[in-house]
Amino acid sequence: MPLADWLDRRTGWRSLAARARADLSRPVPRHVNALFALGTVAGTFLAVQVATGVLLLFHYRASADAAHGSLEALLSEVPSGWFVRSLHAWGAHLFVATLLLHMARVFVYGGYKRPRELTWILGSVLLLLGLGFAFTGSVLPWDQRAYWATTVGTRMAEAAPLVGEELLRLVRGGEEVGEATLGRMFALHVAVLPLALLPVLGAHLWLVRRLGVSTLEDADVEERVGHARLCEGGEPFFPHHVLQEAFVANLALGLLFLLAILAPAGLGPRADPLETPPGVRPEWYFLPVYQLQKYMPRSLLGIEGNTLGFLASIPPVLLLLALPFLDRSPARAPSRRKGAMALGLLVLGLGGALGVLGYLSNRTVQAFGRTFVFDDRGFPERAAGPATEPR
Amino acid sequence: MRGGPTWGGGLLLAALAGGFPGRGAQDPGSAPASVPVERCLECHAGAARDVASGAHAALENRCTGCHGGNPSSFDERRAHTGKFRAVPLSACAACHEAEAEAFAGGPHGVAFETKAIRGCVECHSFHAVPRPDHALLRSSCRICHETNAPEIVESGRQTADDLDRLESALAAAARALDEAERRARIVRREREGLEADRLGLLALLPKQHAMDLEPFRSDVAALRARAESTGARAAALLEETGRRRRWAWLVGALVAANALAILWRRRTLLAARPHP
Ligand code: HEM
Repeated sequence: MPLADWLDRRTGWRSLAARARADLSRPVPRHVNALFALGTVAGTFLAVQVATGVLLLFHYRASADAAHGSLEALLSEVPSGWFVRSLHAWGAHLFVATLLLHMARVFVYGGYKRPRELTWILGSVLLLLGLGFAFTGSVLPWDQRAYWATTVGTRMAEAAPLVGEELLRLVRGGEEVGEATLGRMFALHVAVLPLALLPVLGAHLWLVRRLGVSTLEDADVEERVGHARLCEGGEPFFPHHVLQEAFVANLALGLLFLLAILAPAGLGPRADPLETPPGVRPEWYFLPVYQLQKYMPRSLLGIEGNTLGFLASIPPVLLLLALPFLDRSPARAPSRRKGAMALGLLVLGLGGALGVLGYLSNRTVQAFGRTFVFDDRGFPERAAGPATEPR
Repeated sequence: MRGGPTWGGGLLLAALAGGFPGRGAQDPGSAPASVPVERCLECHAGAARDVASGAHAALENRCTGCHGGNPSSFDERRAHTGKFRAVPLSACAACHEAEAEAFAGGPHGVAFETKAIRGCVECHSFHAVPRPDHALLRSSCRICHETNAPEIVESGRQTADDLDRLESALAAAARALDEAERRARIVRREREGLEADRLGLLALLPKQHAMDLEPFRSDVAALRARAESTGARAAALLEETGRRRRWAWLVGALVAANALAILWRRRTLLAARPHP
């Protein structure tokens, strides 16, 4: 190919490609299975978010006056606008879900241990950035749900000790959620967070390539014997493992497309600061934290309950970031890490339970032919007689 | 429509009413509002029950609000003095001004003047005033016109039918819009149009009370055409949404085919690999 030759003489891409190919065909450990594709799935969803996000930007207007109308126009007039928006909305849910699953995979296989502590920490930062994307994005449609979920969500800043009020005003850009809130959330969502995510993701992936996927051997054995020797006999990363990843990513994309087509994202009535709709609650990934606040005592040792709730949500984050240094045992195989597995299940159970309680709170549910009214804490108030028409 | 007496033109209503106070206003001729009306109930408990069962149950100025009179007296004669009105047509007009005005200006106004009919109550009944609905046009006309003008009875019946059809067109359009919204379609403008049509019907009611039924019916028909086109638009949106869902099959098939192709390629690669 004359063009390829022409380019090669100027760029030397052939030798670069040969080196990349040699590096990429290094084998992966033999225990690697489809779960190890979850990182790639997260990356795939991220790519979809970037692509659809740019398309949404073509039409979206970031002002309290125009935001809702611009999305209405996108949904009713722009060809396939509904599809792009639905991909972005569902993609956000699936991205967060995939991050949590990827994290769980790494946790179970001990992938965070020596020498991959930094990979885990960068990953934790990616999770926090991902949640930041989800939070800042949720206000942008400027419909009732967006407005009031953000009102509830930002109110958490008020519970910060000492600087609560100032923090709330900083987050909202004023006393109430309004034009200024939309402006800053938009800037964070489309400029600050992407710029922050990119280098962190780059470093994460670079470390993953440099250190290779962890084996199931103990950390000290891996260090002593060497990663490459332990991987001998495993299938090459490229093309064999990449094909497995492509397979899983393909299924994940299919799921995203089907969800976007079969359950397209809707748009509620325009935000109205004077009318609180019933049943406002944060998205599912924030529900556990939201619900936790409700169980705080009114005050403890002179600290207010809200502040306690705020403080209570800091240790889990620190724990997440510091995990590789808190769990220093070299064992990786889950069968020899009973304590860690129990802790993982406990966190999963607690988070799940809080999420379910948060989902049920202030809801009337018809089940088993009866009506259950759940109070603010998610407990059934009264199991009143036979089912009546839902209100 | 609500508020003090503002009707113009030397209408006979105005003459009769003699400045009737609107809702909540105080008639200087009757007792202050603080005086309980319980004394009226000594004799008129049935009427009070009827009011409570009708469309006016929520009105605040009870007996004296419409009838005037002196509720602080137990004496029958004294209780019924002080601008007392047995059949308070003017009280209806205080809120339903446009309808009353149209009524007085139409053919029924003449009958009212000659005392052949008693006014609103003739069709809408007394204390237990029902929520007005189209059925009235079927039942009330024949009270007077069954024998002397059967064509009027017929015209009332047809008008009622027209209104029924309009109501069901409005309801069908609203249902279709709900359904479209459930499928994430944007229907705000259609909803606003439908709401305007509903209000449009209310605005037509004076015309109906003037018994000008032909123009009224053509206006009702125009509203119905609008409601029906809104319904058709919602149906088209739903239809298009259904077509979108058929895409899902195509996407599913593509995903499955691609997945199979990838698996196949991986299998052939793995099979060609020398075993360690
Ligand atoms: C934008 C988000 C992220 C992307 C695109 C991403 C991507 C990847 C990829 C492609 C891998 C290779 C192995 C695999 O897929 O399992 C990986 C490994 C890893 N990831 Fe992530 N990741 C993300 C977020 C996270 C998060 C939230 C964590 C945990 C807090 C994390 C921790 C790790 C660790 C420790 C490894 C090395 C695991 C091992 O070698 O066994 N990553 N990541």
